[in-house]
Amino acid sequence: MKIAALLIANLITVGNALAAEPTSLEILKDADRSRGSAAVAEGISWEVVVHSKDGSSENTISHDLKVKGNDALAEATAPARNKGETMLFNDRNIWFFKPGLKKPVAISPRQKLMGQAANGDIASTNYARDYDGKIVGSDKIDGQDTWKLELKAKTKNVTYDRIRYWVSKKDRLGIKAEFLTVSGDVFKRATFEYKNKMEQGGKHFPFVSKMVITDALNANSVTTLDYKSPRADKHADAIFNVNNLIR
Amino acid sequence: MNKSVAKLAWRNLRRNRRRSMATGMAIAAGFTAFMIAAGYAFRVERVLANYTNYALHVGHIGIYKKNALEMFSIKPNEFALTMEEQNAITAAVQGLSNVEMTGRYLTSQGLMGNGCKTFPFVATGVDLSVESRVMNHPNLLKWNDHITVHRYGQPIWTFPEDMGAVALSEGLAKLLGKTKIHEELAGGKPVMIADCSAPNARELFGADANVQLAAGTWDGTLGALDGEFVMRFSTGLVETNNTSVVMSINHLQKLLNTDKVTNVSIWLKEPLFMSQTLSELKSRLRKTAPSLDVLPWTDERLSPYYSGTMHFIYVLVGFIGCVLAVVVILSIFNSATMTIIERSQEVGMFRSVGYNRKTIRSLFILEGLFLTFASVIAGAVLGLITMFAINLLHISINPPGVAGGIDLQFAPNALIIMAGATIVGILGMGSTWIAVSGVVRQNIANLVSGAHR
Repeated sequence: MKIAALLIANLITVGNALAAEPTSLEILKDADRSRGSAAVAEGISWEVVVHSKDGSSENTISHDLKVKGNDALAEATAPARNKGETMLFNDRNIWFFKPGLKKPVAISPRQKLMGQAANGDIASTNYARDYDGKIVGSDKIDGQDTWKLELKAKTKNVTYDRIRYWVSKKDRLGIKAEFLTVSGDVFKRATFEYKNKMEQGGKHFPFVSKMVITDALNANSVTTLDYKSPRADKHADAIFNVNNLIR
Repeated sequence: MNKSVAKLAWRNLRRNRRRSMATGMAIAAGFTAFMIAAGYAFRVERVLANYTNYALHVGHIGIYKKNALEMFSIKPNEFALTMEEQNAITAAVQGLSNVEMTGRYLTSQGLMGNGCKTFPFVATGVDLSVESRVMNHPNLLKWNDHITVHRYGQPIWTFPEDMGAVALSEGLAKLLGKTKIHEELAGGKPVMIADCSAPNARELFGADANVQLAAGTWDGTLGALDGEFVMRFSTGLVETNNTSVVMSINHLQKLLNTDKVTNVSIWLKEPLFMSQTLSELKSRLRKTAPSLDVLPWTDERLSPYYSGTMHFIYVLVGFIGCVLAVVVILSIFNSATMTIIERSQEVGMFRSVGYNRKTIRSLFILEGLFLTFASVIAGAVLGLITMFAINLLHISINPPGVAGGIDLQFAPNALIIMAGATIVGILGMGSTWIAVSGVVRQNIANLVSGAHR
């Protein structure tokens, strides 16, 4: 009896110890869920409005996003001159298509979408898949305790080479990011808000509502991505086939 | 008296044939080398100048926004010429009699795709109507007839504007797998590639001439257009041969969603009067569009290959010219000095029968002049024969920035030959004058007795 009690006590202690120290992979998976990588079997949809401001020039484009697994389809809905422009994300490959083009164009996730936003910023984020992460410390950001992670790209075909990422310990939400060049210089910074809610398996979890990206060298160059109406949705696999883009 | 002095000079020259021959041959050899170097320099200068002016679209005068040459590639929208500025240029050029034609140009970077992969490109958008006149210009065809050898297909201006005709550099066409041009696939529809990793995908790339161009628009989004591959060309440089595209400026403006241009190039009827036209243009534009730079094509930022190559060649020819000058001076000076010393008693005799110092000096200078003149003629003939023989061999060389290389050819230029001959003649006369002056000033008694030796 005493031995059994001791064993149970040890198990609880070990269990607690393990629960207190998640791996970087676990942290990233949880954070990714709230940024579009939720494992909803049939798919998710949301809208994103990208607004860029650089000095006196401003631009706004709205997109409808459909996501299923590692695939995503982003279609511009406004303004009129951009309407119908489509980006298809097949795993790490991105295709761009617009009405009238005879074939889609393979583009890079690193390419500029608009302002400070890269193409890879508007679709779902999958840092757990794309980056090797390491917890390098803890920080307090806006009163929240966070893990500070250093992420290095696993392949060249991802949006950024290196990311410094702060994830809140309480909610496991990515709060702040710094995007670095290969040599380690910060060239962009981003902050995130999570005022949306998403449902999965009967439970609700926070979903990203805003991402603000700022040029590290020019504080006047700011791009805001507003995420709206995230919801579970049914998406056929066929819509994520590049050959169907033209039809 | 002059005629008899000249006769005397010619006779004296033949008195010491060996010395005259040796001196003459040295001068002739030096002049031959100078002629060949000058002939080469002249031809390279003409080839590169016309290639720069026409094939590279630089024109004789280039008009850019201030600082655009340094900043356009970083901030194209800010450093491009607006419609108002383009109109101001058009108005300023009106009435300038030396202007043959003007053309607008737009350059941009982007990605070109074949339905599966994309590769970076640098495009030059050209005014199609002007492009046909530029590429068929007599000056270009005269000095750069090799240019047509390294172009395959129909020029872009022979196609309707809305077809989106593009000319691709050889390397870029190869990267895209575009093995055939539009003409060879006439009527063929774009071929969709279902599986980019399939073994026959590369073959399918070449089954149509359709390409996609994508680029960041100047209002901050992503633009894309179709293009039709109609011509393949070589740029002459490995770096640009994998990325260059030439297309209609209207098509490129549509891709970038802009009506601006990078620059306006102006071609002149008489490039020799470029300075005057440049001044007049600057003066007109100072009032209507003060934020513009009006530059001569010889500005090394507009013509780096021409400037760099010609600086080197001018130094080379200049060096050879200096060596020739030293050869002439030393040869004539040596010959004249030896002659005057040997004939000092003869000089004394001439003085004693009434020839003054000036006449005697003229006698020796004429001897030197005849020797130099004969040597220059011999050198020129030898130089012409040598150049002609090398031209027949059609040896190919590859100066940087010239597509496909050029033949090692020489182009003798009468002006350069005459200028060289004149300089050699002056040097010869000068050397003789220096050599004989001292002796001629001696008094008659010393000269006749030979005491001054």
